[in-house]
Amino acid sequence: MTLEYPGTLALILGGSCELALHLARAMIGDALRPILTYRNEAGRDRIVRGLEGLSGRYESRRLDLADRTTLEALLDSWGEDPLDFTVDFAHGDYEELVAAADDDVLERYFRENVSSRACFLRRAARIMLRRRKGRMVFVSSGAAENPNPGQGFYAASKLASEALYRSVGLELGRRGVTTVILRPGYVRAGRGRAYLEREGKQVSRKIPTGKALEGEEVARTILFLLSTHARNLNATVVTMDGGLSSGK
Amino acid sequence: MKKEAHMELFESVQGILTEILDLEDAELTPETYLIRDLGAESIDLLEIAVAMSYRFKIRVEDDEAFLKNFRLHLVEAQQEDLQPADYLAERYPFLSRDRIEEILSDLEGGPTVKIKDLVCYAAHRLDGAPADESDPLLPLLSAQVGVRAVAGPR
Repeated sequence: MTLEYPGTLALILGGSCELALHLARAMIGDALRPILTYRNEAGRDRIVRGLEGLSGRYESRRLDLADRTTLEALLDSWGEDPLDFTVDFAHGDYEELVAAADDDVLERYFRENVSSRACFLRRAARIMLRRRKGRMVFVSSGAAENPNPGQGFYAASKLASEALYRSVGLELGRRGVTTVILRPGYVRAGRGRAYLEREGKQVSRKIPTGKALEGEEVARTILFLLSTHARNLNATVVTMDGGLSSGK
Repeated sequence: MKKEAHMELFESVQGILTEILDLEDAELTPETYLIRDLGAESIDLLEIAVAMSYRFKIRVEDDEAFLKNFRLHLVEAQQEDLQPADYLAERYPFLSRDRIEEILSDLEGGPTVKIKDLVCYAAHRLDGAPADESDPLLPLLSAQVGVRAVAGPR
């Protein structure tokens, strides 16, 4: 099926991660124009390497959710360009038992991964609202609903972020700004790759389809969620885990 | 800011309201209440703020522009045993003292924000100057300028 899109310009938060690079390549293939954000120079280098040969067909901009000035620099002077899509992969890594966590670290973690995301959403939604058109995808995780021990803060911040995205879709859907949340299960990319290399056989046995997801599959699903065909998926969660979370 | 510029601001705000609230043949004056008269809802206020932000190239703080926390600030002043008008004038530097007194006497009627408050807010953001009794906008606004709205696309 050839997908049709209600726009071309897509801002990808956390643009240097492996899944974001899969998505950017797929977007470029479908004549969309991604703007990938990176937190530091290493991230920018990963984008350049990951999209080698595609120079001129994407942009990259610095955005660190821990640094409000980068958010303001990116969005407060957005100008007349439309912001058709946002895809949000950005999320900090913090694995710790809840009872073992450091107060300062966990406060900073929630500020960066929840409060700052709300600041981003506020700005992006206002840009989209101006044209009464925009689509936001938040890439959550199966761990939001079913965390392993040590993923309590990650799960809590993912669930809180899901709630923010859901509310934007509820509040602004009538004005043409919609949201959808994707919860991938085990993905053979990024943080999941090393885990699957260790535990892959055991994980595969638990998944009804018998295998973890590939990055390319997740990217293609996000493209569908951005397309006009998925426009009625609003303010809701799509779980893509091969059926893992549906059984015991 | 000159009177002509204020008039342009008023007409721009009027155009924004006409489009967002889908007004047909409504007579808008600076004294028109946004919520009481025009029935603006929270989503409408958000859109109005966004439109003003782009139209005038200003940063619009929704709480401030639409006087959302006016009653809260009034309670704060009472709790701190401060003169309400003085305290509110600090919180709303775009409102004249007369306007603050007017709002204080009008609270029982419901949400108090009027079109002229948005005009003053935009003027203040553009000029950066606090409102005062010699504000050239005031005579214009007190003249009850009426502009018949033309329905725009929603």
